Amino acid sequence: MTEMARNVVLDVQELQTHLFTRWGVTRAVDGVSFQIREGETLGLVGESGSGKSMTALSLLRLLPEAARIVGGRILLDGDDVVSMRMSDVRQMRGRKISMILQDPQTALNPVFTIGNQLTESIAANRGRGRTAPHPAAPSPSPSPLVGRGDQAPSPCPSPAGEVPASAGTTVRGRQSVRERAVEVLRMMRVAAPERRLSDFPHQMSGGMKQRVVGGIAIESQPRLLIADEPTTALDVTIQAQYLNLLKEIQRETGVAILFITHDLGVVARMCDRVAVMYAGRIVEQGGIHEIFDNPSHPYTQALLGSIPKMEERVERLTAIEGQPPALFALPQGCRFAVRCPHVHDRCQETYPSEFSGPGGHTAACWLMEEKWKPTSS
Amino acid sequence: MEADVLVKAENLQKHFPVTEGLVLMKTVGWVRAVDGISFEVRRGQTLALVGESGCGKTTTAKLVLRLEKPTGGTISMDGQDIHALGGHDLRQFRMQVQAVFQDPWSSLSPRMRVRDIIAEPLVVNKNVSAREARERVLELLNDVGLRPEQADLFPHEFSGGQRQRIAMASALSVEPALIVLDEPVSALDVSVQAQIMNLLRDLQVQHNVSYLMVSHNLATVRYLAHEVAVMYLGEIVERAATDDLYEHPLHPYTQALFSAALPAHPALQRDEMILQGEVPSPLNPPSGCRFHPRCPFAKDVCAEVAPEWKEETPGHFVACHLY
Repeated sequence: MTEMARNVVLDVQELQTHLFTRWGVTRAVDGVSFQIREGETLGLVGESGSGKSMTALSLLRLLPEAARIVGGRILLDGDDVVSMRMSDVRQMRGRKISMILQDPQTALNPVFTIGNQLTESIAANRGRGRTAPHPAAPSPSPSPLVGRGDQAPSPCPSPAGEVPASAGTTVRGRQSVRERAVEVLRMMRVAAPERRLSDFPHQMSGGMKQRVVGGIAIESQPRLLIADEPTTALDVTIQAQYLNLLKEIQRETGVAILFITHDLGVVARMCDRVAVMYAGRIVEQGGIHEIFDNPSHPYTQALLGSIPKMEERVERLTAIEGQPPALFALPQGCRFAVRCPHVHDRCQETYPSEFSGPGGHTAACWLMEEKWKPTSS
Repeated sequence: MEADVLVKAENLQKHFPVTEGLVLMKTVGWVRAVDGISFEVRRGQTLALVGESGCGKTTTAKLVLRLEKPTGGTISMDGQDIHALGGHDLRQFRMQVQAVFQDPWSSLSPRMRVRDIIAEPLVVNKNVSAREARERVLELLNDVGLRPEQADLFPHEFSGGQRQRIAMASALSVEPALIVLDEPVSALDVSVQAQIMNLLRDLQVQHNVSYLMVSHNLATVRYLAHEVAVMYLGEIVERAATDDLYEHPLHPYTQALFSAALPAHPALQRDEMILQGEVPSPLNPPSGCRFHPRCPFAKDVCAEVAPEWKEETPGHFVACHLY
């Protein structure tokens, strides 16, 4: 936190999240480190099972029951999320870190209006003390509010015996909460927001729903926004609208974005920096132009060579043969070794150290040993 | 030219009735899912239908597969109207056309061994002995890049890419003339997509089969298709050879679609043409040109008169008042 303009918002250090299953320990996230600064977008790229979503869930401490963070630190504005008390984690979720999920269909509650769901989260964000631990909800449901208050958007007093706010403040509060909801929808470029508030999710298109989800996420002006494949369920032209909108909002608010995706096109369009994950580890990290112009890890190279381009005719795609390794039976050495065209003995024996090149570009591959310097830890 | 046309659709229509009431089912309107489209699939080549959800591309695929009956127009294969077939001809048709779907997790029966999945179309449609079937399965496994000992496994023992290989083997077992591919790679991981796309290309050459591909991924289409038809709200707005279309898109919708597609490299800056609004409902499509409410070049005439098909350059058709 030395630079004035671009403070580090999130600093993840050697994060390890393992899944404890009947069949053994799955090392879903196995020593992942990255930083995101204010106003910056980091793309976390990887295939299914590479651990990118587990990383995101670890940041929010929203892990499934079988998963545990077994090592490392997650510093959000200097506070360690890993060692935080659960009540503080609840305070953090939705206020400091928000999340937009892939499918707006399941992220919104179908039996409440958009207005209802927006105002509920706005009210929850305002009343700091209202998010006391809720004994009935140990595992929060995957909602775009990410456990904000852990309550169903119901006007009835909760069974926990919460004291309802006094009548006077409720009326005034309701008013401004509603106005804020309209404002948020307007910020997400939803046409005629006043009328939209009384719509149910099924009355809206996918793109509109995702805007509402985005609105709920940014309403609290979080420090970090996690976007987990937010546009994969959307059509091409709607996707373009949505990505542009996210960029505009980032410019206005300076929110840091962690963009989780498997689509390198989204990365090329949205991100400032990229971290490529493979089998639970980040294999390469760097500025977007560095990664696209000078990919240094064979996996990144192969990935870039295997995507078809719409800009030019490609004679033949260079496919990566084979499959990613199973996470409960990881090889001792480099996890990409069996599919790597440049593999040699050393790769099989020891996991490569990380090497640093120009402009903060790092790669965990023995091939870079001679060209780059080892990363000092 | 005419000789190598395998499938020909002329003025094809599929309107779904919208009904009201539980008992009387009064028809109160029609969803014009497919509204008067014409296209041709050539032998040994790929025609791709691209467009956003709701544009009618999947309905078109279903019409070709005979899973829906058209409400107007015809589709013919080798000169025969496929919706007028019966008896022997129909059985013949069923062998000529096969399909591979998007999601290989739901398209393969979990209780059948791979060997039986691949042989099923063969056993159902052709009179083959068990021995012939077994030999054919091994041959097909080899063609799609799987090992012979994998024939006795169940689908859950395979990854997504391998399952899509099994689906292709099954489709190819009866030596069809046409395979309908509905988003064949979009459910797969990036690194596996390339494997399957290469396989699809190789198999096309090897088996001289035509593909009718439905996709919204423009990059995939560019790699696989020989010809592309762009659909919008139940109509084809532009049709051309792939390279021609990608290098000179004519229709404003095609241009917008291409400019909205994600770049393959961050340095590629496109002239952004981001469309406002969303696709209108096919229940009540706009008058004149269906794209005019969102079109940046719309003129008065566009709201009134539906544009005619024009062959702007040889083989490049467009329906737009600008041309």
